[in-house]
Amino acid sequence: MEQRPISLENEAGFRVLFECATISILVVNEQGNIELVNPCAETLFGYQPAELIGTPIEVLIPENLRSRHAHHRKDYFERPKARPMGLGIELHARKKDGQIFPVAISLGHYELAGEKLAVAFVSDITDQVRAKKLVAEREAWFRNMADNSPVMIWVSGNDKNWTYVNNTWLNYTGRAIENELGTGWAEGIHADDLERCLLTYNEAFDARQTFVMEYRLRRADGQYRWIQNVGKPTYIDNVYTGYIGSCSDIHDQKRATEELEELVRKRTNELYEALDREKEMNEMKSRFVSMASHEFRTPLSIVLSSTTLIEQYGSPNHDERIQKHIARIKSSVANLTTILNDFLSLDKLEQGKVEVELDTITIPDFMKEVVEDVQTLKKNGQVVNIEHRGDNKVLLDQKKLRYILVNLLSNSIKYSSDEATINVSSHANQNEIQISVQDNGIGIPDEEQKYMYNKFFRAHNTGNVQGTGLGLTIVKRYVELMGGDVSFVSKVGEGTTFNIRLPKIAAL
Amino acid sequence: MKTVLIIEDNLEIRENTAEILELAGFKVINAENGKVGLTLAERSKPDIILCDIMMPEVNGYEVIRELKNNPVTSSIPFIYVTASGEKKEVEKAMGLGANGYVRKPFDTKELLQAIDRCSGAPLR
Repeated sequence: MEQRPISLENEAGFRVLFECATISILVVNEQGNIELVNPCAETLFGYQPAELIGTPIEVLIPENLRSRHAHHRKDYFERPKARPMGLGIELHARKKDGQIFPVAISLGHYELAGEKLAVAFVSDITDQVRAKKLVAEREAWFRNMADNSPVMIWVSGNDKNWTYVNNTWLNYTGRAIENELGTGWAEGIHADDLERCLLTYNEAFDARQTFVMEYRLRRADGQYRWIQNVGKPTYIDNVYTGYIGSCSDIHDQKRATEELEELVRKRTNELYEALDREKEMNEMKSRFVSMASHEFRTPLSIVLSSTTLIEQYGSPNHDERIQKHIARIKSSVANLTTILNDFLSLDKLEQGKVEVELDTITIPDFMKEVVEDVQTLKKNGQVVNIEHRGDNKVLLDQKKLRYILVNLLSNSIKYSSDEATINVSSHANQNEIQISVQDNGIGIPDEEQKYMYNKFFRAHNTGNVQGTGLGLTIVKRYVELMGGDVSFVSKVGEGTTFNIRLPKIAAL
Repeated sequence: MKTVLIIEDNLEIRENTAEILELAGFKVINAENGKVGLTLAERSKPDIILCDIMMPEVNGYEVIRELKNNPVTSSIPFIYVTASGEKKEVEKAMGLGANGYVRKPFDTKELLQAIDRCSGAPLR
């Protein structure tokens, strides 16, 4: 079947095009008067239908351009040609209400019955102009911000080549912008860092991932300084456009960090060395205490046994002065032995070598033995009373309990006057045994009470009474080792009461 | 009269201990080291032996081992007299079969009590 050519040969066809076009169409004769105007144009310029027919085209031109337009119009009719109007310059039109707006115009021409006619196709480009202006403003804003930023900023295209660096960058490297664009920026990287940097850069680009890299960059003064470069992919309307990145000089910060790390390393080593020394000192102290304790015992044995013999060989008359000095030697040997034992006990406690060993103790008998132990220490007329209530038999560490009570009792004796009475009372129930040692001695000053269990501490009112300041330290450690607690109530000039509470291991 | 053998390398301690025991009514035999001590123990068969632990050449531990291995001396009560404050040394000594120990410095009462305790009944 033969295909019929589609044509607009009659006026009706053109009229539809003319009436329905969404572009404004005006036909102007050689005199400059409007012959035809379509509805779109009437709407655009704000005129009633047919209002423009016969009026000069210049009514649609801003007043200041009208005379110039008349010249251009004449020129056009002399050499009519289909072309855009005012190529490269911004064109403006005027609405009926006087509003000026940007337009794009294309011109065409034809002849009808010997009359030359020009056709103008007019588009309102207000939105495009506004958008373009906005983009230009944004760009200017970005550049202004970037150039004034303290950080160095760069932009690359999607081909990895840099298309922009800010002034901060240029000031830093001291190079011209043309040297930095493309791949020029990599020329300033330290040779030792270059390969690693390019690898990071290229891999990140290929994966379109954010990257952070630290490397040395040559500054304008020739110094290579550590910088941190962070790059992020950019997208416009979801289309990947390249990267934007920022760099900061982290040289001083990095060096400070390195110095700090070095300092920490050094200090840690010093600490370890100090700990080693401390450990060594402790071991030495232990060896010394052990050795001293052993070596002191031999001469002490000789002093004591010789004294005993002098006593026995003495005249039957028993010179009192000789007896007094013999008693003094014996008591001094006993003191020295106690001190040695305390040192040794404390050292063992500190080394964690002390264990609880349980024995069955009959409290009333045990108390009598303890009082017997301190008999020789008692001053003139001093009396020690014992009182026990509750169960008689308990399972406890006999040696440690003996040490505790002998120590508390001898303190009471030492710090009480002649004729003083000291009361020891004990009470054993199903769960625990409580023992208190009460005296009316010199008492412990309030402000010093908190230090009483510290090693070597002695209250200032102890005067010339002998002691090492270790006894209560050991008492407390022993009590705690047995799972109990020790406390005291004391008032200067009135006396002291020590209370001990020990859990019973098993009822017997 | 009961006989006590003192094995002690320190002269003063050995003599003083001997004198104290003699005054208390014992007969005393002295040995200045472990080797002599072992010989005298076998020859004299004392009623009780007092022995130091730390001595050159043959120490207290070796002395008791030898004594216990010898049928002639194995049943003689044996007491350590030690200058050591270390509990583990005392435990070691007791583990080897000693009947008691006395720590230096000791007074007469302590020494005589230890002797009485390990021999069951007063020896004097």
